[in-house]
Amino acid sequence: MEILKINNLSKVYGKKVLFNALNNISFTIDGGEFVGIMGPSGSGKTTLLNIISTVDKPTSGEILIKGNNTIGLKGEELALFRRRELGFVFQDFNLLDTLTVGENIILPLTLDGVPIKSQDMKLKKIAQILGIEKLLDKRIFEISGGECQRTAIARALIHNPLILLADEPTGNLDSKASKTVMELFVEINKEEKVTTIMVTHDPLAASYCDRILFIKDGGIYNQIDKSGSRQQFYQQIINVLSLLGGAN
Amino acid sequence: MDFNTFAYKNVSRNIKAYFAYFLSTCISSALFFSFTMFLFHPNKGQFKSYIGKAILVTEIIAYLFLFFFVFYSVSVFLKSRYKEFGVLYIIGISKKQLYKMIFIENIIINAVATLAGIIIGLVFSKIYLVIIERLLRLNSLSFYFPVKAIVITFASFVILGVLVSFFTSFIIKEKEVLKLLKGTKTPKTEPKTSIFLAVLGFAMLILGYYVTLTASKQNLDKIILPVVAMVIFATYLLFSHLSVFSIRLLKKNKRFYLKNTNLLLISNLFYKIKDNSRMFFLIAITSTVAFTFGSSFAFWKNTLGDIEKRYPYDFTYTTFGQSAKLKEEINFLEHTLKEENYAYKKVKIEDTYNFQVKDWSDTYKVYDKYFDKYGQDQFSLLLSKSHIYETEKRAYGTIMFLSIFIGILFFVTSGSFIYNKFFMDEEVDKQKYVQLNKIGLTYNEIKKVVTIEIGILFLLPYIVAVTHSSLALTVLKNVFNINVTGAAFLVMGSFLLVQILFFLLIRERYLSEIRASLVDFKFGG
Repeated sequence: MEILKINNLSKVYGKKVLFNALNNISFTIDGGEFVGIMGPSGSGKTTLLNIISTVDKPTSGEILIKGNNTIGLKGEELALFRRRELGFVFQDFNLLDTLTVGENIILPLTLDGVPIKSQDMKLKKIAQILGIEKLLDKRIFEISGGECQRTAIARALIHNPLILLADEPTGNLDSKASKTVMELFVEINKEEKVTTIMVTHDPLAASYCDRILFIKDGGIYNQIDKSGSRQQFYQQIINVLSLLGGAN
Repeated sequence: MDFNTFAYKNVSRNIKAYFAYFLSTCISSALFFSFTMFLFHPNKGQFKSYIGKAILVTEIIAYLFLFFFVFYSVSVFLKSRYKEFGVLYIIGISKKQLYKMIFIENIIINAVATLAGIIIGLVFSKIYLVIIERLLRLNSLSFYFPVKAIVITFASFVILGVLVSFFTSFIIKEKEVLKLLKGTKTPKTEPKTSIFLAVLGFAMLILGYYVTLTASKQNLDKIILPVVAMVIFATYLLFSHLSVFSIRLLKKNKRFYLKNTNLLLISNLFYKIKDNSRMFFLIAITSTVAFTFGSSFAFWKNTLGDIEKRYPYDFTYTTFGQSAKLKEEINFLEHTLKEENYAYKKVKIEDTYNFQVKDWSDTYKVYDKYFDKYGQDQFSLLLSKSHIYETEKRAYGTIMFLSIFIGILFFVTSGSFIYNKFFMDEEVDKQKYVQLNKIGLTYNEIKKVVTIEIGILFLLPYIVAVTHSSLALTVLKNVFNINVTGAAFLVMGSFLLVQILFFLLIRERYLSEIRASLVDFKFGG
């Protein structure tokens, strides 16, 4: 089932000197897919993610999430849409250090006015999946980077979003923590059927995806599906990247 | 966790960031409370009506000033929290909820700080009332439990919080907030300056100073308003354009700019002065007002010293023709003097009777008796040196009391504002110095740059304020022949002393934060 459909999306920056960050790009993502987006610096992948996440507006084109165009949403509707349908994971976690781990995770529910009992139940469940039950009362500065990212993932998932968006989620983590986080993404994607879109530089992280879209100069350059093992997929990714050229 | 709990936790766990704001609100409310307490004192029947009015007007001015300062510092504080707001936006906070959060935070801070301020005010109220008694020459002001003052102070500050949260809501721009999250943050653009405005500011300052220095008694009332307006505007241009322009000139001087740490220092100052130009402007103007007010203290002392010159006789009685009254009143006066055991000498010069006593300091009692009996009529006039002295002392006591109030208020609020500003810059600066340290900048060099930088930021508005108020005092000297140099040194010197202490405190805090994150220090280097 089609969950996200991008139609002829373009984004032009600048006033005097124009720069095409996205150039008439179109693709679709099905429910339950785990899609990676890769491309060199300046290819437009972050712009694409920002537009999908409604943080940025496109110059032209449309984004259909479950058939609804998100571009027309304004103010309150936009906030509600972000609050209920999307989950975000960032490279630098973006957790609030005035709150505990547990409070950070339930914040989206707090904003939505969900009853406290139900907040606690959901918190318990998600904390268990991510293996952070023991950290819930700790403050952000007391936990490691990997634990921060797991907290951020928990926060992104607690309200059962339609789409989970991740921007370089392993960018600030060491290899061991990266591995744990990526395995969690796969587990959540497979077990909880959460559609996941991840932007990354890291071929190793990307190899956990089902499908990779390669973007160059604001358009789709290539895409590959995982057919065999993760090692094979990793090799395929490396091959495309070397063809793409330049720094990835 | 419900929404209110969330907002509460945001404040209570981040108390370090709110501390300066909390402290300044606390002290301001303590001052405001003491003031109100005096205004509603049950014995207030004995005040002259002008004292009550002066206090009311001062309190209103203080309130407006506080509103302005609180508004400005809260808006700067909110801007430093854009990243946090961005995270909240992404999680799906609506605008309404964000405003509600800021509102709850402000109300909590204001309510708690005001309560603390009222308690401090109550604790010190007896001392405070004794000081007022002395200054305003009032009979004993007994302690009372000032319910009205408590209610008024609390309500005023909570309303202040409500108004400030309402106005600051307009400051948060969603676009800017999201920009920080999108990672499309552009590097800071070089501050723009206009040569025209820089030159204009300089010219206006010179012109304003020139006109003031050549002012005379005849034209002072006509020029005073335009000149004050001109100097204020010139001060604004001085900080916003002239300062940046001068630094740009320094940058062009390669020999100076590329020497040792000058490169770092000058380029830091370039941005910091522009960023803080509005704050400098506010502090310079308010300090000028405080300094000039402060010298009214000197003026008071001066006038009192002059009393012997102005009134050679202790009592002077004159009538305009009505001899029947004359006899009766003179008799009464002499009788009262005898009754109160004053040995006196009577000197008659034409229609005027002059009396000389040994010690005139308490003879206002005699005047009071005379006044009670005859009041003021059109045909006779009695001047009592002691009475005039007491009245002037009371009037200047009032002025001094009010200027101390306003002065402390200005000082505390602007001090807390500077503290806040440094606290906000600290994070960014720390990262910068850590990076520079990695490429070989030593701690001692960092210390030097930081000291000069903070020193300039601290002293710049102070220097401008000193220059401005010296000018105002020179006018007093030229036009009215009032010399306040000594006391002006006292006022400005004590301000400078507190300012230097404050500077050392902030510098130490700043350096210790940087030290804690430098590699050298972690490995005992």
